[in-house]
Formats: sequence, structure tokens, C-alpha cells
Amino acid sequence: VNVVQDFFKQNLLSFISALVVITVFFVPFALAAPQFIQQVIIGSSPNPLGSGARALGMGSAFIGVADDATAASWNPAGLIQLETPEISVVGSFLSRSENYKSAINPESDGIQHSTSADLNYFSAAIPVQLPWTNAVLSLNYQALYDLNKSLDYTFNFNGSAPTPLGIPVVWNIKQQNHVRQTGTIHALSPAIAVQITPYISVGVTVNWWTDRLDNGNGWQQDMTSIATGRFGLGRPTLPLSTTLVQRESYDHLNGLNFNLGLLWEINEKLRLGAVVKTPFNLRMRHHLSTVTSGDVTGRSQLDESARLHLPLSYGAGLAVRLSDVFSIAMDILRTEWSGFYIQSQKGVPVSPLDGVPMSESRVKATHQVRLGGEYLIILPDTVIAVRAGLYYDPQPSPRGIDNVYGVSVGTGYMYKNLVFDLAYTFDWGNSLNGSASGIPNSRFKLRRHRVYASAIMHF
Amino acid sequence: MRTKLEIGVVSALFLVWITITLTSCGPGIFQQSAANSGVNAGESEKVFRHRWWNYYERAVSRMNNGLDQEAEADLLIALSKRSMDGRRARTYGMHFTDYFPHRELGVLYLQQGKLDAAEQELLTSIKQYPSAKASFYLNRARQKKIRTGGLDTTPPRIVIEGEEVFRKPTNALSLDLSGKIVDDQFVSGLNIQGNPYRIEQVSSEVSFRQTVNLSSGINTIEILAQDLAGNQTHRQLQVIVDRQGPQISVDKIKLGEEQKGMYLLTITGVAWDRQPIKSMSIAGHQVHVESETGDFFSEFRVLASTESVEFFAEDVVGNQV
Repeated sequence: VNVVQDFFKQNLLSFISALVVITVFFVPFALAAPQFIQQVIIGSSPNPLGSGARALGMGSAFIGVADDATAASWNPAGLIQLETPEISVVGSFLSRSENYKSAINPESDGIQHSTSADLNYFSAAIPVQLPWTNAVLSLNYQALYDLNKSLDYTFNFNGSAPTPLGIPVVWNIKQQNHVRQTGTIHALSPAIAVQITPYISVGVTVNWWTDRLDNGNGWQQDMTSIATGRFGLGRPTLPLSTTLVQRESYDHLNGLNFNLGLLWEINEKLRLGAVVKTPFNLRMRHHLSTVTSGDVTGRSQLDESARLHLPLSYGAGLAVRLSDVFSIAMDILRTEWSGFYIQSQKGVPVSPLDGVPMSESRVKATHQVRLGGEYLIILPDTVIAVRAGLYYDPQPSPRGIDNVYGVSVGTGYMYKNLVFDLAYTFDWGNSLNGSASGIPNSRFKLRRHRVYASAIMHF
Repeated sequence: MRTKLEIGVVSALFLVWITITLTSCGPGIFQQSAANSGVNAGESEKVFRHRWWNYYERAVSRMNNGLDQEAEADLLIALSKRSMDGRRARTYGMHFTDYFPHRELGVLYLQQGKLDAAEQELLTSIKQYPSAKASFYLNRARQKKIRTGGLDTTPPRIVIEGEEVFRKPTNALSLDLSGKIVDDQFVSGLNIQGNPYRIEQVSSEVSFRQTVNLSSGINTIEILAQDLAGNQTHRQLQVIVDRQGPQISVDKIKLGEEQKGMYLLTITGVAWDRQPIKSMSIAGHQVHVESETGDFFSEFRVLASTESVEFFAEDVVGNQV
């Protein structure tokens, strides 16, 4: 408001200029996100990433399987199956393209592409003998949210508005936006599984979301918006050039939640797993700095605390071992997305998907359905695994649910006490809501490729 | 701000983690406790989760410690959960183990003198997944059974296929020796030329086939068969190997009068070989050789310009000169 008043005091043209700039820059953001804190880009999927190439190769149907060192992330009760110490390390590569189409800004249409590579998982597990039963302890590092994303799009603003002079102000402005978001949210997760009866086990993973151990937990978004064009009273004759640079970061993350797991080994062929991932508040610091230069100048800064509330999810999985070499699995996981919101220090909870207050949000719960299989070729000195899966991975959307499907293939190679796994997944969705990316009234086609590589060593 | 509660919970969990790990580590970290499993410490080196492989591994461990009854109980439980012997049976995840409960039970029964039960378990093991150990103990079980019952007093028979071939002289470098050993109980061993012949499956009839290398002269092939009761049969085959062609000795060559540019050539001599001579020719003319003396006589016309004539002879074995 002060900026507007200063310009008004100087002259009318400046006032009109400011009016145009405000219209060009802030109206779209105001439409998408009434408050700065509400503008959160959570990639294409707020669903957490899976852990481990073996699980991903099986279409992430692993709640009922959970029999390797990544069990802490799928179903901690599955850890009980480990009879020897194991360590595992998993790397991931992600490539995502989003083909946008906007109903009101066709000039912003186009393919947005981003890639990232990260340490996906690291764990060490050790079976121990408690006085009354068996237990397995594990310590895990898991990257659960990949927030790397790039967006480059353009808006054309051609319009007019009435003025007190009776002559409308006319503008033809082109706004070029470049957004780079980088970061991951990861957790340090000790876990324990305990055998209750010979065939029933329970487990808990404590996810400690913190950047105390490293400074890489969180994400940062850099946006540059360049507006160039002409405007004027009656005709667009006066040039305009303005640049807005905005840096927004969320760091100093701190939160705690639990994965509670149950595993019932019904018989030698059938296993049933269940998992509950408790909701939690991820407290963090939110920094926002905005610098406007060119025909209009300005500077603002914000430093506040905020919290991202991640929702409750729970599910069950069935694993069937048809023979030593062939097994199949199926999972269903429900996530209560109504509990997914972000809240600034003094603000109201809003949806990170579109910035709408949660009281008005129409986001719905989703059900992931995952199917997978594993076939082993057992040779005298080695074992080669062939895996495949398919899944329905719906994304929460401001307007309900966006359908995303996926297929996966994977392989594994075991030599002595070393296991190497490799998985490739392909996700696709044909009409996802693009509002969270800052392009109002847009839909996009999603094509996501992921490659996971794991190494597990048994002792 | 991190709440004190969260930090406290995490710290407590780490403390529990470290405490459990440290108190559990040491020589007995993977040993099951007596309270949990009911066995003495040291019998099993892995976590016991009541799975088939846990029972199997514990049974083997108990057998090694002389706890036969407990081992038998474990093997029976393991078999009730998984009944197939085999290598690289899948336990969990990407873990595999060799699993032979029928075989181990057979060995256990053999040690206990339950010979019929031992034979049955070992036969089942071999049927499901043949192993040298199971074959060895099956032989032992049957041997014990036969000896105890005095069931076998007849030695095995050695039957050679195409034995008449070995009676004929040959110039071959090797011969295929094949046949079978037949016993009223079980054939347990076979030696050919002093080398043990691998018997895949112990039975009352064992087939064999082996290539025997031959040297010039008289070759003696030794075959020794034995049954489980220890009865033996010995056979010798003698094979005559001749790789030399006939020898030809010319006694007299006579050249007759020339007529029209041709001479009458008369040759007499002796052709000799260890084997009967099958055929002989001089300059393409067939020559009769006396079978008793080897004498031959040949008369034919040759051109006046002829400088040499070719002799050819072949014995019945096929050696030529």
C-alpha cells in the first residue's frame, strides 16, 4: 500500500504504472495464493517416495512383504523377519515432465521438465534377543519427499481498466516466470520390531524430521518474474520493464511421527501386513524476500515460523508366496488429505495444493492400490530376480482427486551376501490440476520416470 | 522450535536402542535363550522364529550335540511345515538355505538302528533332491539291513553287451564297454580297469558304459562288481589289438619274352600276418594267398616301359600294406 501511495504522490502516470504492475504481478499470485506462505510447490505428488529398489520394482506393494532392511519405511513389523544384520543403501534418480494446458493463459502451455538424484535410503538393522522374545532394531535415513522442480512459463496480459480521468488505461504486458525449487524432506528413523507370538509381530518406526544432523532438510524456491511491454491512457505507448526476484525457503525442520506396523504370518505362504502412519506437524522457519526492480522498485522480507501438517495414512498389504521362486503382493493405502495443510505463525490453515483455506478446501482422501510380483531364477552360485508391478497412485487435488497410474519393472542380482537391485517406474496422469504450480486454471499431463538402485549386504 | 517432549522422546529411543544393542551384543547375540527355545545355549547360532528353517537348523545343531530325540522332534516339525528336500530353499527376502530334513531324519534313524525308517527317509530325500550324502547313508542303511538279516549271499552278475566283439582282434584305439551289473539285492560298487565307476542310483541293476583305451597286443580289461553285502564278482576280458599290416616277401621275379611291346611277368613269394590275410593284389591283379603257408603266385603281362609294380595286401582286421 505504501508503494502505491508513493507512486500516486509522484504523478498520475506513475500511479497508472503501479496499478498495471500490481495487476500484472500480484493479482495472479493473489488468485493462486492469498498469502505468501500459502504458495507451496510440492512437486507433482505430495505422496511420499517409496524406499528401496526391490520394493519399487514390485510396484511398491511391500506392506505385506517388508522382509528386507527397507521394512522400516513400509511396515516396521516386517523387520522381525531379518535374522542376520543387514545394511542397505539406495540411490534414486527422478525425471519428471509436465505438459501444461491453461484455459485462460494458453501462452503458458508447454512441457516443464525437471530431474533430480538423491540418496533415497540408508539403513542398518540388527536382530537382537530380548529376554522374552525376538526383536530387530534398525536405524534408517529416508528421503520421503522430493521437492525438486523447475517451471518456466509466460503470461500475456493484454487488457484495460477504467481511470478517474474517463480514459481507460490500456496495457500489453508479457510476463516471463522462472521458478526453481530444490530440496528434500528426509527423516532419521530408528525402528524396532518385536515378535509377539511366533506368527504375529509389531513394529514402530520413529521418524524424526530434523535438520539437526545436516542442513539439507527443507526446500528453497527461487522465482524470477520479468514483465516487459507497453501501457498508456487510451493506447499502450509507454514502455514498462519490471523484474521481481523472490526467494522463499523453508528450513529448520522439526517434527516427529510414527509408523506403526503389524505383520501376521498366517502360514508359510501367506502374510498380512498393516501400517498406520501418524499425522504430524512439521515445524519450520519460513523466509521470504522479494525485490522488485526496474520501473517499479520495492523490497519486502518475511521471516516467520510455520508448520506443515502431514496427514494420517493407513493401509494393509497381502503377500502370497506361491513357490520359492514366485511371489505376489497387493497393498491398499488410504491417506486422509484433509489433514494436509500449511499454516503460518498467525495465519489460518490453508491447503498447500492451491492456497485455499482448509475450511473451503474440497480435497479428498485417496486410496493407493499397488500390485506386484517377484520371480527368482535360482542358479548354483547366484540368484537373479525379475520383478514387475502396477499401481494406482491418485494425487490429492484442489478439486478432488487426480488419477495417476504407474508401472514398474525391476531386477536383482545376489552374489554371496551381497544383493544389488535395480528398479524403474513410470507414472502417468493425463489431467492433473496445475494450480499448485502457479498457472491458474491449468491442467497438465504427467510423465514421471524413476530409477532406483540398491545395495544390501547381509552379515 | 523443537519441543522438549520431542527431543526427549527421540533421546529416550536412542538410549533404548543403544542399551538394547550393547546388552545384546557379545558371543550370545544370535543364540536363542534357553527360556525361549528350551535348548541349551550354543546349539543354534541364529535367531529362532519358529520357521521351518529354524527348526531344521536347530535339529542339525542338536544332532551334532547328540540330542537325538530333540533333533528328531525338530525335524518332524520342520517337515510338517515344509516337506521337500532341496538346495537353496528360500527362507525370507533374498535369503536361501540348503534344506534336507528327510535326509537328516534318515541319518538320525540309521544311527538309532531304525533301518526301515532310515531307508524310507533317505529314499524320499534322494527322490526329492539327489545328494551324495543321502546316497551314502542309504547304502549304509541297506548294507546294515542286508548284513543283519543275512539277506544276500549271491554275488552280482556282470553282463557285457556285445561280448563277442571283444573276442575278435581289432586295430581300434578304444572300445566302448557297456553292460549291467545285476544283483538280487543292491549293487554297491563297480570298478573298471581299477577305476571306480560312479553309480548314480543304488539299485539291484546298474547299467554302465565306459570307453576303454587299447594298446597294441593283448589287452586285459578287468571288471569288479560288488553288492552291498560285500559279495564280489570279477571278470576279465582279453582284447587282441593288431595295428600292423601284412608283410610281403618276394622270392622270385621272372620276365618272359617280349611280344608286341609287352612282357609276361611272373612273381612268387610269401605274404604273412598275425591275422588271416583278407586280400592281396599286384599291379591291380588279384592274387591268391595260401592260408596255411602264405605262399602266393602271380603271372600277368606288363608293358615293356613298366619300371615298377604295386603290391597291396590287407588283413582281416583292416590293416593294409
